[in-house]
Amino acid sequence: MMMGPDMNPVHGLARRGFLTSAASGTGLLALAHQMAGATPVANPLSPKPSHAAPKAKACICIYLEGGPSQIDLFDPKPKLNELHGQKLPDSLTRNVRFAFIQKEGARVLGSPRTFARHGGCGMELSDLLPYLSRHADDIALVRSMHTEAFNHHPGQLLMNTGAPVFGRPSMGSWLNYGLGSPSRDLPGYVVLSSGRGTSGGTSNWGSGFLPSTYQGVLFRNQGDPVLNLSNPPGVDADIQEATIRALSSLGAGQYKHLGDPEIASRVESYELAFRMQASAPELIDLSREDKRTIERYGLDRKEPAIKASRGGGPGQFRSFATNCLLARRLVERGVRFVNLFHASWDHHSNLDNELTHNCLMADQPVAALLDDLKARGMLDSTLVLWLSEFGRTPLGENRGGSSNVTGRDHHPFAFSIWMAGGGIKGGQVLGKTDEIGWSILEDPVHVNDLHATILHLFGMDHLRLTYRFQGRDFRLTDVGGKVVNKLLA
Amino acid sequence: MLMTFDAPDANVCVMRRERSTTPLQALTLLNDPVFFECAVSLGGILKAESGSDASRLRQGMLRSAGRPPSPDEEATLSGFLTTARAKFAGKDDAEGRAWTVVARLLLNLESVPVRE
Repeated sequence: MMMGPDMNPVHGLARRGFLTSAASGTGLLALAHQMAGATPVANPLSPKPSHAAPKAKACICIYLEGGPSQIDLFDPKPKLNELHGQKLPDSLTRNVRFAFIQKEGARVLGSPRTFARHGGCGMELSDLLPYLSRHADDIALVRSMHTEAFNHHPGQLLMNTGAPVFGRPSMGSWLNYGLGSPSRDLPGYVVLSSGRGTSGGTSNWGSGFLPSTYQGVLFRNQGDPVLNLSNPPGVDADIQEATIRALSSLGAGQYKHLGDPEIASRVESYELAFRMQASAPELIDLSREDKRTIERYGLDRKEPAIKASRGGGPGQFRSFATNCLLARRLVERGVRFVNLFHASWDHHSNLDNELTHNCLMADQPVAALLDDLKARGMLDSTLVLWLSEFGRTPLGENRGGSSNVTGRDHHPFAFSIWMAGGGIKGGQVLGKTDEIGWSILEDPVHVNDLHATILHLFGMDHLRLTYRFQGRDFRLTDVGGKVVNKLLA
Repeated sequence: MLMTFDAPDANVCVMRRERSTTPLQALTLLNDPVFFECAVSLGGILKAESGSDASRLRQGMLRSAGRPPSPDEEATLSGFLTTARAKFAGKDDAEGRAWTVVARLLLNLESVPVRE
């Protein structure tokens, strides 16, 4: 909450965008207009119409930080086992920069995974994903994703904000800016994290140059997801309400005087905090959930002991499963965008053990989430995404020339993601890679294309959802992006 | 609390800390015991001040925001003080509790907390 009303021209622009983006009003801006005698203006998060009829109304974005190995999960390459231990032709690696692989001694690494066909569509999926495999007909698997970034933080920024640099708004921020949120009593954009935390940190759910009202709100992953919901001793609801009213009124005065939209964001955050004191206890109380639901998500599963250096310690099984369940509860209560992070899937070494461990953790709850959304009739309007910043190399990683090769390096040229619900045509595999998974042969999908498609599902034209900043109109898709029509139902 | 205010994970380095404004930060500043203790303490100081309510509110604003209140702000603060006094009337240390919640309000002003 650091802010300074430095009155440069950029803020003037931000303010204009902020006011014109608003439509009818509560809170501070309502107060401001009463004081100024102007026409009503709105809560920046009040729902706004989309460009076209939307298929998706909410999104649950499951982000597996680090780059899960597509070769071991989604894109079978039996050829790698034939070529195991051999060098790749120089023509493939000549102009490639790896994060860690030493080109000279690099050798192909086969996969011990077995793949089987699933669902009516016959989608091939790995033995590490038995629960998800039952949803083959619900998901659209994209085997032809590509990105420019080959290191984590830029890759995460590109995947979450559309550009590999700081300061751009994330997907959830853009959606809340463009569409508002149907939830009045909870933030429109909630972030749930488990594991050791992403290397990109808060920049993955930042609002960039958009007002910070549109920033993701990070819930805690241990103990109570939200703290300080109770008033201090001696402060009852009446006094709390009077305090918030006084703060809004004082904020409105400052806003009128300085015109900094961050003051409006701040007052909005206090008003939302007050409403959350009433709404959040019910949200995070899982005791009324069906016992079977808790079991299906696997909240109380036994966590196998593993020395997983990238894991983030014990307790992740429960926290990841809880986050999946919370994601459904949030969307049920009208939250627009839920970002669920888990770190890390960055398996440079010990890949077989750690990927197995991570899949044991994630597979059941993610599948349960799909089941649950479907059973409640919510999957049609809820877009579920499984994303990461890149995939992993068909080559084994020989960091520092090491001959003990047990993992794979970062691979940005071809990797897999999947989407389900919210207007996605399930039961299909889009894109094809070559026989070792090095390059894309058919239907390449760039990150910007993915974003254009996501916005399209929400009824938003990625070319028209813009925000003027530093003299030009910015988009989530920056200067790229093409809607991938094959993915649409 | 550090996480709520965007502190990066201890095991990574960041080039720039994000700025954010979230309801969780508001809940922390309003309700966290540490911040409430600050309010109790400032409330005690204001209660002990001599002089009129107006001059004590002015003192509170100077101590928290580092500037005197504008006439509009003074009216809002004074209205809140009246509300608080009415609320706590007849209770133990009614005056102290009223000044505590006034101090709590002051410490949550946009003009006050952490600035870059």
